[in-house]
This record gives sequence, C-alpha cells and structure tokens, in this order.
Amino acid sequence: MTDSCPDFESLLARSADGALDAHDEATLASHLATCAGCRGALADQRAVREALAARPLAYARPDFARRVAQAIDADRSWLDRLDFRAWTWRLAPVAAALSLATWLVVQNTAASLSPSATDTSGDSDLPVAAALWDESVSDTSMLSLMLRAGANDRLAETYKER
Amino acid sequence: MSPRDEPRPDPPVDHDQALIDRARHGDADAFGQLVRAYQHRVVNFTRAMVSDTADAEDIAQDAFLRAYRGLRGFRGGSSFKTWLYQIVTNTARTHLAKRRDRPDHAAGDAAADPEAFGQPNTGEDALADVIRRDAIDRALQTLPEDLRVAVVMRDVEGLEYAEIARALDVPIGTVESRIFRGRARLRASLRPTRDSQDERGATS
Repeated sequence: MTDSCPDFESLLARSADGALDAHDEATLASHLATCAGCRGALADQRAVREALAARPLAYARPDFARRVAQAIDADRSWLDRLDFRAWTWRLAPVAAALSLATWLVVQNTAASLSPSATDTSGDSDLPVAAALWDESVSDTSMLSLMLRAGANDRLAETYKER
Repeated sequence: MSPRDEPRPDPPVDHDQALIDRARHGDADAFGQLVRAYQHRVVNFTRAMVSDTADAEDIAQDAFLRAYRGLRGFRGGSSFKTWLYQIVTNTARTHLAKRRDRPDHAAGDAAADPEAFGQPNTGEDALADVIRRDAIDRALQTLPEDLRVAVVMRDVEGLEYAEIARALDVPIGTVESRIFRGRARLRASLRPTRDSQDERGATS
C-alpha cells in the first residue's frame, strides 16, 4: 500500500472513477505534481478499479425467479394465517354472536336483580343493617332487601315468621 | 459475447413504481417482473459479497422475500434499486455473521462450473470467466465488510456514490473513504492475478 495524504483520499477515489469535476481535478493535479505518495495511490486505485470492472458477471439461474415466486407463495399462505385483518373479517359472525349472547345474559341478570314492580316503599337503596333498626320499613320491604342483599334463607324465614 | 459485454440496463424508475403499486395490491406477477428485472444484479452482488455460489443464491432469494414482505413500507423516498440494495446488503451481513459462527465453513466454492450461475455461454471461455471471477471474489473476502460492500457497490455493480450513501445510510464522504481504503487493500491481493494474466499474455 502506498502512503498517501488522508486529505486527498476522496479526490483520489473519485479521480480513479473519472468522477471528479474540473475544479477538483485541477486541485488534485496540482497536488500530485508534488506528492509521489498520492501519485502511487492513484495508480493503485485505477488498477484495482480496472481489475474489478473486468470481473465476469455472475448470473441468476434460469429458474431463480420461479423459486422466489414459490418462496413468496409459501410465505404468503403462512402470513395469511397471521393476518389480523383476515381474522377480523372471518371471525365477524362469531364475534357478533358472542356479543348478542353476552347482551342477553346481562339483560336477564339485570331483570332478576331489579326491584319488584310492586315494591313501592322507596327503600330499595337502604342498607339491610340500617333497615333492621328503621321502624318505618315495612316487613315486606325488609324481606325484599335481605333477599337482594344475599341474606341467607334461614334469616329470611325467621324474619317472615315474626 | 462475454457476460460483461451484455447490456444490463436498469428498468425505468416509473416502470418500477407502477409494478410496486400493483404488487402492493396483491399482483404476484408484478413482483415477479421486478424479480426478473433485478435478479442478475442481486445475484452478482451477493456472489461478490460472499464468494459462494449456493449461498449467493440463497441470500438473493431471501432478500427478495424480505423485499416482498416490506413492500407496503416502501414509501419511494429512494429508488426501488437503492432500497433493494439496502435489503440485500442487510441480508448478506446477517448471513456473513452466521457464517462467522461456523468456523469450518470456507468461503468460495471454486466449483469452476459455468452452469452454476446460468452462465449464458459455456466452453473454455466460460470456464476462464468462472476462474477469474472466483479469484477476484476471494480477494474481496479479505476486506472488512464495510469496505467490501462499498467497493463492490461501486466497482462491481456500478452504483453512484450518492446511491451507495443512501443504501448504506452513511455520508458520501464515508463512502469515498471506504472505497479508497478498500481499493488500497485490494491492490496487494489482486496483483498476482494481474501478474499471472501478464505472464499468460507474454507466453502466448
């Protein structure tokens, strides 16, 4: 390897390609007139460039494009299985059915937990513990409160007997 | 006609873009046309990068597959050619990193088989071409990857400095420096080939 001036590496590389503009070519020429190292480096750059330019090309085999197409087909079918959008559309009927079923369950549960239409005492929000000491709460309302609060059946029966 | 003499022009950029648009919408034939347009360039590049016939085709195939997968992400900020070289370079680097982990693998198949790369002509000339190419590709393997890819893109593939800078995502000054240093290092390893050619010329 010939010693050259680091500041001129870019110009030397481009000059070997014939890719310098007139101004840079003149700048390099005036430097080369006094620098043997850069003259040697430029000769090396040109020699290697010529050797590589003469390298015989390699070609893809005739069936290369077909093999790429096969690889893409295999890959695409694999990707399809992971394609979120494809899954979304294919599962849309299932999702709709699940949504409907969930809605029906929620509606039935809400209906079973809602206060009786005949219960007009207005104490539906009253805690059970407070209602026990509230004489204004009717027996029927108290029973309803306890049942809704999940009080055990025995306590409810006891209270009803009173 | 030797392979070097055969014209291998790039497709027009507009033509590429039209094919890319069609391929994005699932037109497999459009991407197939892109593959056929660039397959020889890509295989020639990977062969020079790895100096192994079978590996070069595997890398090229893998690179086209990656390009197909990434087609939706191609925004046209650079040409398809530059974008493709970026993908091929990354694929080759991944391959070379794996190969380094296999110390028993020797680079270069030296098959000297003109049919190996669909060489358009056979016979003694083709065999001589394969031997010459193999010698040069082996010399290229002596370069560090960063220098090798820059030199191959410029001197083997004929890319412009600006294209190389975009493909490698480095400043043009870095490209120039890598090419200079790469060629300087290659001078010693390519000298025997040139000398032997001179000797053959002197004795014939």
